[in-house]
Amino acid sequence: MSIIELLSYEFMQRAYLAGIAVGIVCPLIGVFLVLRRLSLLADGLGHVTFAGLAAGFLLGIYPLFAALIAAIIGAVGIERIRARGRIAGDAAIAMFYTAGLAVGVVLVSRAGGFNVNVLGYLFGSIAAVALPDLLTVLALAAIVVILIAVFYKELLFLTFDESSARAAGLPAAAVNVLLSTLAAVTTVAAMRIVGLLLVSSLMVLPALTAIRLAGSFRQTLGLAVAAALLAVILGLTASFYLDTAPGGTIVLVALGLFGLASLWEGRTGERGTRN
Amino acid sequence: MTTTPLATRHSPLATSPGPLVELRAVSFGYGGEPTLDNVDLTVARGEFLGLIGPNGSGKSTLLNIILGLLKPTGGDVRLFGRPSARFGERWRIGYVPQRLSTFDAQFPATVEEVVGMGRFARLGPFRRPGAADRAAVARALDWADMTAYRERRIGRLSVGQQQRAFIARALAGEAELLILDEPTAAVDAATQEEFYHLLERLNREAGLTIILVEHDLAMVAAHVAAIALLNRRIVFRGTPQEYAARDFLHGIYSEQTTCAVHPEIPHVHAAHEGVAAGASHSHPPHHIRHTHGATDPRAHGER
Repeated sequence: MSIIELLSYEFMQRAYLAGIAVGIVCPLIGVFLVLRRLSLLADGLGHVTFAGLAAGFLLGIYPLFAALIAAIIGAVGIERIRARGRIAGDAAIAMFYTAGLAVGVVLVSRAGGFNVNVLGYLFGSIAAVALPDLLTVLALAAIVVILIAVFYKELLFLTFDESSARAAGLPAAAVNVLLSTLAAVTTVAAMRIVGLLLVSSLMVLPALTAIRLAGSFRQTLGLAVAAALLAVILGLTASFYLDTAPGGTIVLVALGLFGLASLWEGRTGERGTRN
Repeated sequence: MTTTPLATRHSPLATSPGPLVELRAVSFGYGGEPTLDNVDLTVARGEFLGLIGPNGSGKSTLLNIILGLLKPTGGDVRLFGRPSARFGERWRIGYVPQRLSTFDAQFPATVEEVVGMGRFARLGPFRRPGAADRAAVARALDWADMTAYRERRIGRLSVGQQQRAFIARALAGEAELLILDEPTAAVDAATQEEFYHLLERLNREAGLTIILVEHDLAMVAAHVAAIALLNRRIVFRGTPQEYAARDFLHGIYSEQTTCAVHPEIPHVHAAHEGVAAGASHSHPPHHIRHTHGATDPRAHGER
């Protein structure tokens, strides 16, 4: 089947559109998370979101809505525990991670077990992007992009050097909560395509790729988005032809791009550090 | 070298009289012995002060209190004539952090992007940097002699260049008070000299007030006009020359003199000297009492 025929399928059009939106927001959030050493936050949020999703199934609430509520509660909770400093950031994430999984598994088993529908959310599914899902994904992605643009300077300064940013009077606590909330919203936006268990890879891998290659922070954001879009488009296409789960396929492409970037950096990296 | 004027003097309150920093009886500590105990310190506009203290003297705590990152448990802090809690224009204090502790060498930002951050707090939320901000960044780069490196990634510069970039960041925000936390740790002597020279110019020609925090008096004595020695409280405030003339305390690092400075909390020093921590605090061991005499310069010769 040719690409043209592929694109004539409405479900593929929806998958590509949702994928492109996800390919823009995931790396934007990912760059900030990676540089703040919060790469695991996305993973933790994915599992908390699973609990919300399962609750949605059990109670008959629109799953994306239930997932969004759970993800935001998780994000604010993790950030508050982290900020209070009694529990280390990684431990706070681990706590939510396991709690989310436990609650999710219990609720899912009450709701009828791991059926195809549930697996579609965990690993991503091309055929599953219905029109309401697509619209939700586009709206969430738009919100994330707009908020990152509005708070770009605060996010950048706090990510670079939190103590100086706080000393200069930037509202650190509020911006930190904003970042984790945006990560939560992004997780929900991405779960239909890449799946909850793999969302974090689409945030982290393109960011790592871009950090290796970019000459500036702006370029890092641009390259990360480019890498993620490439991974999403190639991955979705491959997953259609190979009949594989889209999430895994996309992440493997992203991993391949990271490998290429590392090779490239290995060959030219000297240049940047000299003189 | 260029001398594009920095805009610091145009700030509306730049002409306001009175000290920029005023600490009165500032203490910090939760239970046990305080990290800071009754610190009085005043820094006047235009001053170039070396704030010297050994490790554990509370200088990081004091710094964080001035920067508004910590609230003192006692006493009064005034910045630019206003109580610290009500001082909103934090960008008027430019902070140059101890390099190694704060930023990630892999961070993919250029020097220009880092210096630009100095404008962010001044701009406030919802506003994007414009032409005036770019001009301030260019001036700051110029002053710190970093224009040639503006497009380089910060992590790929030498430590000395990174320090100058951080200074430029403070200058870009048109800070009036510059606070540097052990800026020359981990740079060679020639780079240190250049760095101090830049600070002297900023103090004299741009009118910046500077607090240079160091743990070693010898490093700064030749460059600063005034010093304050901190060891949980201010134990000396004056010029380096006055300090030398007083022949007061050979080093505030040695146990007996630390004790002399702090006769009221001898138990720490007891622990230092290997005396069992179980020793009663209210009855310090004999040899600790003896060292109290070191407060008196005459006692110094006997030791």
